[in-house]
Amino acid sequence: MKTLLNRYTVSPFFVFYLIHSNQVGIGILSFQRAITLNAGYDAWISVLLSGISISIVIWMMYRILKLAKNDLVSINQICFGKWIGTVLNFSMVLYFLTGAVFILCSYIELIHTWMFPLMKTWHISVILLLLIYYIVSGGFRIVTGMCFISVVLPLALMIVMLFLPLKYVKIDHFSTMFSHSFHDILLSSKTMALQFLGFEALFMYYPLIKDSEKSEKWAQWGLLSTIVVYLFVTLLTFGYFSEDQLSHIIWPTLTMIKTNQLPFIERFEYIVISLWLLIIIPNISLNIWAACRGVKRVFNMKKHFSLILFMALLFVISELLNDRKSIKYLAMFYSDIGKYFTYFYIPLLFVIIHLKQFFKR
Amino acid sequence: MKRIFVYSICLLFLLSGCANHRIVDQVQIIESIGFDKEEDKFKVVALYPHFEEKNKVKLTDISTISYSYYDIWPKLNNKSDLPIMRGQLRMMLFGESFAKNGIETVVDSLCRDPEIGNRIFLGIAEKSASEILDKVKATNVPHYLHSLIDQNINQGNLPYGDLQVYLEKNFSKGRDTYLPFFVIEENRVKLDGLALLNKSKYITNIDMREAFILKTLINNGTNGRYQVHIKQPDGDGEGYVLLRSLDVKTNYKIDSVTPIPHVTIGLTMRVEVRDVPPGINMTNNVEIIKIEGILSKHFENAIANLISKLQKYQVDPIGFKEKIQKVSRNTNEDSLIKSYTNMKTTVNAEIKIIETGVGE
Repeated sequence: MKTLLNRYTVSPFFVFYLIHSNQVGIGILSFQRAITLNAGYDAWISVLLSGISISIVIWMMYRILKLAKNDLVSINQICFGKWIGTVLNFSMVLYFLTGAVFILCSYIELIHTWMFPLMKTWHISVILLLLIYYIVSGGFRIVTGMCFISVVLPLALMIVMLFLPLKYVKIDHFSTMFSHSFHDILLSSKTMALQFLGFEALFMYYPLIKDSEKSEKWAQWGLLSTIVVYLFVTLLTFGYFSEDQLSHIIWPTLTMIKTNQLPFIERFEYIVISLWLLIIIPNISLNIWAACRGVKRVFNMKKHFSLILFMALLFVISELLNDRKSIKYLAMFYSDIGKYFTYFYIPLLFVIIHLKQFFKR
Repeated sequence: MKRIFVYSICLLFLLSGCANHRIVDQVQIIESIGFDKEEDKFKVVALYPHFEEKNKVKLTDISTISYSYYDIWPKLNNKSDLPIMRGQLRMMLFGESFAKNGIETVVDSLCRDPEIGNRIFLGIAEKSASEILDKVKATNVPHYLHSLIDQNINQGNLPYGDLQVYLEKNFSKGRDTYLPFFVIEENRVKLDGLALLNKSKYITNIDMREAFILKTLINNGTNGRYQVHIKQPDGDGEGYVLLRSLDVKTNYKIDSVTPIPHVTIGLTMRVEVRDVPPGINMTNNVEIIKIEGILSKHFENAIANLISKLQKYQVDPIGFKEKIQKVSRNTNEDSLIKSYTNMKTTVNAEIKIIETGVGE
């Protein structure tokens, strides 16, 4: 692969932000209830387990990428031949798009439930999509910059927000710890894996990283900080809510933040929901960017054209999927594909590419 | 590219008009609401401050009858010229007969209502909530009940409890809830201890003195006031001691679980003593130790009495069921309740007098 010009690439240490910011998104507001369905209050072990499994998957990705020295599009064609490779690449593009749609729809639903129930879906999506269009058309470096901002800027506020509910934390809730079977904990880990999705875009932006081989360390650090954030939020939630109470609440993180009260603002969750825009915008942007890049590499389509096409697609889909039921289906669909992608497809690529290497010798 | 950016900025300004504005003097902000039972329906009374002119507030009430929590708001709006907002709601009061049937019909809906804050206070009213709110209306002080509870939590004998604390206890298997209990005395609202609930049903109430004991057993009972009648064995110095708790530590030890659970409760309380009966010399160390002994004895009895009362009514605000469950790992609810009612306790109280006021 020809070396790309310096002005298109980013330093390896930005992989930390690319991985971390894309993993922490809309899911962290609401994942707690889903993971406690099977494992109850032992689910914090599931968070650790799925984190570790993702760490192994990232390790595999780096082995694949280092061998191929290129992005997923050419890896697919090397491994599966031209025709199957193209089909896979096309489904990759759809996968990234699904991720973007899922995040967009969930965020719009959040705004509808918490802030503006009367606002039309298209009002919100037009604003968001214009912003995303502006970011993605700026190229990969702009997207990376947004990822960086989305980690750094809300950090201070988030830390304060999440430490204030500590007053309500009851250690007694952990008294029922270690009461679930390993099978239950594994089932919860499967649910938890959805929250860690977002790292797969690495397959697409790998060639755009300067000294890309050095970035593995940063990718793993990014994942580690995601695990720490999720673990902290999980333990905080378990201390804050009793188990049956948690099953009544859809957005536990927001409900916890609701507790905070300052003299000049009565209800803090409104600020947090607005601030969350900063966190989800780079998530969507990176997914869209990856999809555009995929289309460009496979079909040689101009990025400008594909971007407008995708924006229109997202606009239409977000208008269609605007109730809780369909968003739930979308989440299930996305997490199912994500699971196969992470735990079946990547190991498969890993095996195939190493076999090829072996036979070549 | 620059042009698109400019366009999108313009669009933002256009779109900001679409969200619903709520200008403060064009809405009615409900601050307290009371629920009473009327046959199978709710009778709801809500209070809101009405701003007549600058710095002048008049509390006004509005009432309706409805079938469910969410039904209240449109029905109240039918009686009001300005839209009714509930985001600033601070106090929710339930009448006795309503609470006896369980307040979960309302509280479950509260969980789902994003407009309601997590820190509103709930309370139970003796007889009817509307009567209490009527008296509050007469005072013309906004957030009267909320401030009343708040100051009694910080400066008095009331254990902390807001909606979040209530829900957290209500939904856990090993714990029951308590709420402030209001009565009317001489035409004023009076906080008269705590109402104890079991599965969101009002069972019984305890007075302010017992509330202090409960506070020391639940969370730290700092800054509570408590009066003890003492009588020295030698007959000298009979009267009342008023103490203020400065620092309270409670610990629980489960000695055995089967067949009958046995719990040892250790209470260490550092107190400041005011009002000593004449004839007792608080500068004398021997006398102080003697008083400490009497006070410790008193607290041991008071705690034991309170716990046996709680056991009699099968309510568990302290969370003994949870503590037993922690050791026994038995999650069967019936057997937990059975072991709670049979539970035996030993109380070791240690009262330390560390201050005796400024005078002799």
